[in-house]
Amino acid sequence: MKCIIIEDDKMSREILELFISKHPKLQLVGHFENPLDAITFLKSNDIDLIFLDVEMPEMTGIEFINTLNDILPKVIVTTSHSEFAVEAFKYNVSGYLLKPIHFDQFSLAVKKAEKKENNTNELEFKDNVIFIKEAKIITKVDKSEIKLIECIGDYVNLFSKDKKFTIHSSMKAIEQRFPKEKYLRVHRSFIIRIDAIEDIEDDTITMGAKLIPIGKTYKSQIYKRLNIL
Amino acid sequence: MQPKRNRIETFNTITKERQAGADTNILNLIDMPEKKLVDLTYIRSIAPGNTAFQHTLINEFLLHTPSIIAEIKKNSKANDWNKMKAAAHKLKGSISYVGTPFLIQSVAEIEMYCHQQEHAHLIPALVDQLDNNCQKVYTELATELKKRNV
Repeated sequence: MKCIIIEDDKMSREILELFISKHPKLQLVGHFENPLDAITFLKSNDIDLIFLDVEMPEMTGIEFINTLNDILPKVIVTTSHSEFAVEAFKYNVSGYLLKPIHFDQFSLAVKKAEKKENNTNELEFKDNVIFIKEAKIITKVDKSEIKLIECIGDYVNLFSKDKKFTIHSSMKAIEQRFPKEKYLRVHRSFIIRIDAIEDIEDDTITMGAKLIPIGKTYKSQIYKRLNIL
Repeated sequence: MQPKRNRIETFNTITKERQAGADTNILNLIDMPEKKLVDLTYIRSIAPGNTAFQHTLINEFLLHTPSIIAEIKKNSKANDWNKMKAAAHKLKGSISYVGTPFLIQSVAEIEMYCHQQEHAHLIPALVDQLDNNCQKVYTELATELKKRNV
């Protein structure tokens, strides 16, 4: 797992660097004192995990999470206050580490984040067919039948013409499994199949009876992809 | 959260004596343990046998803590509680690594009083206590490094 550290305290950063170097599944690709620099980095680099100090002067960890909501990888928050950790969990972080951090706690948090990443195994893909596992039932679905993907918290709804499948996964993980040439992320909570678009009016996409909002950060990319005359 | 009565009384005494012109030394009023102030168990436990890393962390503490204390003192003199709280907060991680619970308590109290601004008159004495205790911690850590021939 490629990871970065966002931490303004040098001692804390050095301890995390030591732990990451000792962990066989982690690869440190950057560390940042300033969360604003990390945001720039994350916009152009694919990262699996962030160790995030929730109390920094330029921007709190919670503000950071809100800013990057759409492209946010797994996050383990680090803090000196347990009450910040409780707050952080509202934002769907993978785990929290209370300073001073011990290696066994660190390993456990990484394992938990890794498990969350692998939850997408509920979807099995073969060519144009997907197998969706809901509870004990595995249903075969033609990938082209999935017109809309909606994220609600830790769950993702996949809509075909007449069915809805709900699985435990993240939007980022699902987005990677569908072909980019046929599907488009239009909002932090929505991915649509391009050929299912009926019309677009006032930043809202009509797909049958559904109206899908276009997220501000996705707008320019969407119009570029749709090659509008 | 209410501060402990005995600590409040102590700091009130110091504040009153200082207002009356006395140069009260806080260390005469606050009992400090006779035993070692610093406990390096945590640093040893995260890097067993890796003395170079242990020394790096100790040096880091010695290098950066004085400037943060200076920042706290500067903001205390300026009665800028928000900046002072932010500066005090910067110490929280590093003081937890060198096993100094009495410093953690001081920083937590400074942060709390800065936030509440209810017992703000106690803050200068608390800052002095923090500074004095940090000086003792620096000495002990420097001695530790010397013992290790660093």
